[in-house]
Amino acid sequence: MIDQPVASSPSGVAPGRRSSSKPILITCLSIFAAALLLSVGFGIGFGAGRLTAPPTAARGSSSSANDQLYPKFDVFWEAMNLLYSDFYGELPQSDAATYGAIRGVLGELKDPNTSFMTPQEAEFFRSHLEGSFEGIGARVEWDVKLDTVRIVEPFENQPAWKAGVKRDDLVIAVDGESVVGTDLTSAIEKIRGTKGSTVKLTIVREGATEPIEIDVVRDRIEIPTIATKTVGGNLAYVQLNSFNENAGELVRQAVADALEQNPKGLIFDLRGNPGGLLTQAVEVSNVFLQDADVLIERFADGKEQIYKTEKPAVAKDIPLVVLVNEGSASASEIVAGAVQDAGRGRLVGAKTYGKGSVQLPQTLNDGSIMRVTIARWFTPKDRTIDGTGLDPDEVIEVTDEQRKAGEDPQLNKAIELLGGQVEPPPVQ
Amino acid sequence: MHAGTSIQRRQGFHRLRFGLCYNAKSMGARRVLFGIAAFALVALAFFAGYATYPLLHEGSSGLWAGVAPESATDNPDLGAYWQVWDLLERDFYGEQPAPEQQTYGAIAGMVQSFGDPYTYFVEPPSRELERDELAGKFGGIGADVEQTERGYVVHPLAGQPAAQAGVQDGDLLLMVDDHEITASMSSDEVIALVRGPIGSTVALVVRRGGESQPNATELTFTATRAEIQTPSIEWRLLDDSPQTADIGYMRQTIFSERSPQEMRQAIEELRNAGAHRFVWDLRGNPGGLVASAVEQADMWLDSGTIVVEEKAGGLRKTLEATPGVLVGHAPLVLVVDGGTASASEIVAGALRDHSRAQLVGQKTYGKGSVQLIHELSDQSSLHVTNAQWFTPNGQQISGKGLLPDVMVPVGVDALATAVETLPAVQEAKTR
Repeated sequence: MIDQPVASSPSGVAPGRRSSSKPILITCLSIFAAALLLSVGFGIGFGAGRLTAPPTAARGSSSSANDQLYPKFDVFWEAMNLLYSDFYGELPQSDAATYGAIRGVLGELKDPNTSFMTPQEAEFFRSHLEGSFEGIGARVEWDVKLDTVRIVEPFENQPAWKAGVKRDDLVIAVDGESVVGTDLTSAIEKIRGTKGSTVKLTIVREGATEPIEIDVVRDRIEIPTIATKTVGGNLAYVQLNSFNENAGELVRQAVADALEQNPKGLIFDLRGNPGGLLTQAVEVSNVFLQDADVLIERFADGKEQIYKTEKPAVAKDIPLVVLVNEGSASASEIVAGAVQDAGRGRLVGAKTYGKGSVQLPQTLNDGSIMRVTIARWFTPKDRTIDGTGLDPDEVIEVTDEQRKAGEDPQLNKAIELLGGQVEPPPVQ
Repeated sequence: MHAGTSIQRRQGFHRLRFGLCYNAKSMGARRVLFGIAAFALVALAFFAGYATYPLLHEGSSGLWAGVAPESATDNPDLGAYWQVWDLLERDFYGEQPAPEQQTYGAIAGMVQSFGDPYTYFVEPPSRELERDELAGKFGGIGADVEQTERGYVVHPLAGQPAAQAGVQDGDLLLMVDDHEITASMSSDEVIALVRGPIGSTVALVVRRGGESQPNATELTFTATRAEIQTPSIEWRLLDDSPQTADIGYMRQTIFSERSPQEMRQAIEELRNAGAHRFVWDLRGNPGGLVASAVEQADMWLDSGTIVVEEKAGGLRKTLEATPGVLVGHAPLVLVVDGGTASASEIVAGALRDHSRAQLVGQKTYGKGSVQLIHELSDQSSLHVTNAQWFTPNGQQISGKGLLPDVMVPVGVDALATAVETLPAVQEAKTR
């Protein structure tokens, strides 16, 4: 276990959080959830026991007692009483109304990364952390503006990708049922299903005048956390797909093993990696960097925390290229930013996702999970990437044709920069 | 929301809303309303002002006599909500919305959990316009505003308060009283600021001339708000041809408080001009005040049920026609389409079930539920589905609509068909 307890690091955290030794997660729920639910094996530090306890006990609903604490709330009680006395039709479950109110408040924050899961959703989430997953093999997120599901990345050679689903496609209906205005979890539940079954996605795509219907045959989705191989003759290649709780150790071991072959250079592939635990971003950076700053975290109250590498690096000198693209988010951007700022290696690929905020998940008394954006992070040179992304040193885009033909010009560029031999495209 | 091509975030206030509504009033009396719509007509207009009737919050007492409010123990205890609130307060990195905005979000979210598209929450600026719309008049300055990239541009109407005060066409609105006007404000907010009680004054700061021009000047005008009326019915004689010159045509866009009086005036003027037959065009009319719909239907009916309402628990209320009709047995055709909803459907259902009128056009919208509009203490409002209604023959139209007696394909002029459908008038003439 190498999770870094928060208590040992941040200096500027509110008391309730500092006293607890829990990990900080850094990723978007949306991306994260989808990665977990639509694909296999993104083992994530999301177990219930590892989340902090809620800060306060539940309050009663007497409005007078809350007036000072919660100003301007009277009108809520008016509305609620009217609804419950006047409504013609089936009343919602009492907790459904509470969860509705919570989602309503979160909607006012204009922060898609601060999110809420009911106990049922949290359970669904947890139960899918382990075991195998059957789905369409795409990472999705909730597009807050358009209020529907957006495809962040169809995984190569997986069902969605094979059926022609593209990045940035908006899914507006699943099997003919609209998902617009619902939420990510319920939409994902509809999309997922058993291997061999077919799901019909109704998709709105930029440039298309009419919605497109695409049938995707679900399959078992296997995406290992880490993959290694030798490329370009004598170059080591390590690919990391998520920053789960073992990521630091896995990368450290994989790189150490690879270095035993005395490669000329090292390619670290973070393309499509949506992030994960902040502590693991530091650990992974520490594989390549020594005695270096990794990131600066700044909290709402103005306090800041600088994260540094604490161990010896295993690959501190070997020529390094980090591959990134639009799907590299959050923890991936921390690593890439730290490498870039330290001048340790070159970034090759496409501009990254641009998620520079940190969320803390907490379990509420009733088992709901609330994730609050608590901080922003900046690269060691104090750059922000939020909303803008990191610019690679070498920008290489992949065209649809190249993708279809199985070509990888980004990898080829990395091989070229490290003096390796570019291989011919694989035969499909 | 349909799974069609358009994806739009739902706004706090829905301009095109079909709903049968009651207004919750003080003194225990309830005004019957149909849903709000046709708002698009005023969306860009500055016609602003005050409703003629005060809508006060009534608390949570029961509605109809004999129906006890549900036990409050069913209400959610909101425990998780307070925890979330505290977490946000303590930890959230980012701009905290204003407290009232958070409350509005919470209300909207809670209301949404009822899963009924006609049960919804309206924030104060939109609520003010909603009220004006149903009143059919308001205190305004007589100008249109247009939302542009630079901000809100004013187009005053000749002879109206804004023009009289000196505002010119194309002036850019900078301030209304103490409120700065920005391009990012909603038109509802801007309009609500401009409207006010009839006879009150409003200070307008405008910029005249282009922004880059050195001679652009900021000017301040004070306008006195006048009563601006928004008629719901237009009428004329179809005298383009001699064959139809005895047909009075009335087009109604909403059932507002003024609608019955407007219809009385329309019928009187049309009859004086020689009308013996009538076409009542309800196409695109999304509804409005229930009371107005019932009163207008009653003008054509001598007796019988106009509409039956049923509340939760099965309690029923029957609204009956009163003796006497305005227009004798003059032939009547209603023109309807897919946008004919709610209060319009009450009228159409009643007149059709009593064989008083034929329906010509397309199938109607199919909105058979009734909402209460509650004005809350901070001037926001809550629409709550409170009942469903049935036509005199017991038909529930939700999701089904009313099928016309004479179907007209979309794209074909339904008015021409309506005219052909009207029975000849010899009978009326010989009397």
